[in-house]
Amino acid sequence: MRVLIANRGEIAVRVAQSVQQMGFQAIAVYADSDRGALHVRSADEAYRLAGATVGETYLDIEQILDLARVHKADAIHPGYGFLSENARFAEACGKAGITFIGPTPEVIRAMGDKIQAKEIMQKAGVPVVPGVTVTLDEEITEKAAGVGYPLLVKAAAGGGGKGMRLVRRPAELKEAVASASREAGAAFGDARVFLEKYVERPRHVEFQIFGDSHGNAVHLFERECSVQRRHQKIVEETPSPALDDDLRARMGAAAVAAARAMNYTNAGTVEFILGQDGQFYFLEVNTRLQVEHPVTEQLLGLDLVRAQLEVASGRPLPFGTLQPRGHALECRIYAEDPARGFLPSTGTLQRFSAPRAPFVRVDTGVSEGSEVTVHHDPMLAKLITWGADRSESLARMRWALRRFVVLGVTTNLEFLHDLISHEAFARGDIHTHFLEEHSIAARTENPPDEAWLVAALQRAAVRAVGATASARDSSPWADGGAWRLD
Amino acid sequence: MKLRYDDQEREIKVVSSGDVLQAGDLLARVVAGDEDEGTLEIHGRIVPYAAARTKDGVAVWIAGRVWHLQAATGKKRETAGAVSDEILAPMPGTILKMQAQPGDVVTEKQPLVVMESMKMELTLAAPRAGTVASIGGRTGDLVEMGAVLVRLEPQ
Repeated sequence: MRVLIANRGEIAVRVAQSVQQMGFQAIAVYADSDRGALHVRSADEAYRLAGATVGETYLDIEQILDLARVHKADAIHPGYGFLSENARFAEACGKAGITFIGPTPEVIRAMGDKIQAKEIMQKAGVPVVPGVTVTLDEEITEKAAGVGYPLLVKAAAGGGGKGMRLVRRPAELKEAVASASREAGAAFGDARVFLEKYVERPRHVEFQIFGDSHGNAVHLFERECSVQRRHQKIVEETPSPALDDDLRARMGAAAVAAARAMNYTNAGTVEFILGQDGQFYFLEVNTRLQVEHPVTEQLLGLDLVRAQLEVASGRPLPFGTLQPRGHALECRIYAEDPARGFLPSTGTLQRFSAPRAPFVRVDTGVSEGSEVTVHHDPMLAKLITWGADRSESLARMRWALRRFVVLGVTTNLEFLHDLISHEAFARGDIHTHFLEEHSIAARTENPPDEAWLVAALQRAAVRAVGATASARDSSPWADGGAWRLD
Repeated sequence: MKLRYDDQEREIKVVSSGDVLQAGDLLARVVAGDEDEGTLEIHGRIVPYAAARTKDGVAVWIAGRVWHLQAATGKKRETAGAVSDEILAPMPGTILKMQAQPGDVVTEKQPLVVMESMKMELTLAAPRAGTVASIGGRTGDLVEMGAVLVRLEPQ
């Protein structure tokens, strides 16, 4: 079987690994700026997408399908983001006789419309948050009053926090709706938004679901994704410290009911918000493999990409008895500056060295020398640890974060270390506003002596290279002359 | 050579044999590696490190921490505290909306520019009340980090 991976970055690398391990061929596609990227090097074959922008390359349905046809792909894996939740793409794959590795176009379409999704869930008996659809030109003030403050403005076609705004006072409403609508239009080509009641200090707990074409549907337990910045997850774990067996059973049953209501096939995620009172509400269904799928894999000892391929080829769910073991944790390593509002940081990865140890997993799409640009998501890697219990996987994560070397861009490595070391996090007392409630202070201590010395060493070498063009050819230690600096 | 961190400055000597570093009475030796990556021996203690050049200095990784040290040029740093006359681009990206025009009278915290970078929107507001003296870009422009987007007339 030949599988074309219509994506880039770490997820394209991840999918290629499973495809190859199953004895199949992994076909990568790439934009010019990704010619030397890790996902291209990881594939068995790679083909160029013509065009300059993301829209002209990784989002170009016709071009990707042409490549799939010409290079005789049997199936397409969309990864996450890009075309993964595009019903038109899934449909076009089907028409071209190529298997789309994911749910049916009908399900993607239904769940992609957050309003329709809610209606379906309500009918299936899954609890939903009260809310209302709005457009810019109508009486949104009255509709908002009906929902009540605080409320969330969300993109109808949304996901990943894009086009989402929190509104606490009526005065902020119009600007928030306009801005969310604009962001949604740019990100999804659909500017519709809706208002939703806002649950204070909620947890974000999601369930991995999986269905096959024989009518089977299961859940693969939960992922706690409460710690977020800018409405995007940065730390995920399973099991959730908030769930006891009873709540887990009730939420799991709701997730399976949701899957059955959709006749869900392949991998998906049912997201819930969980109030401090233990009430949970359906949030949305992500009809794709999630960024944070590795924690589920580590908890259950499963390869979810492999399972996706098996289910897509018509086989029944391959799981057998599900045996959760221990605790798995994921931290998303971003090129961003936590001290400056998590603003993205761009540059060349001059050093990129990931930690290696038992029960430490690194999923990444970059390597030393990679460019981090404004054109793509600034996630550099996902660091995943497993432990016999939560405190063991946390300790392992702290170790791994301290040994991850990234230079050339500013990262959130130190921030993540301090975040998971926070006593409230250690207690498991987390919610989606954790970072607003507990500010993780920027570190203030001064550089140790050795930092000054190493900096001088690096500066000296820089100057020496500038002075003699061939300084790199000979050992810098042998040539005393160019090194004298005072 | 002189290096700086915040308001501290230190003089470091790279001794001619190349692998010996000296700062005051502190002596260190590179035991393995090079200027990019290796181990340093400081008074009998071995310290692994990594380093890379930055625009204005060096980034150093030691024990899970990254320090940005600058090459001291003798130029004084701007003193913090005073309210700025400018809105600077906090990241490289595209101007989605430029809502200020020269001559506009603006209030403190009034949103003036909407930027986008890596698909995230960011609204930038006036640092204080005043009159717009000049703008540094139009809707649709791609700007570098640190570019002056709006300048207010001096108070």
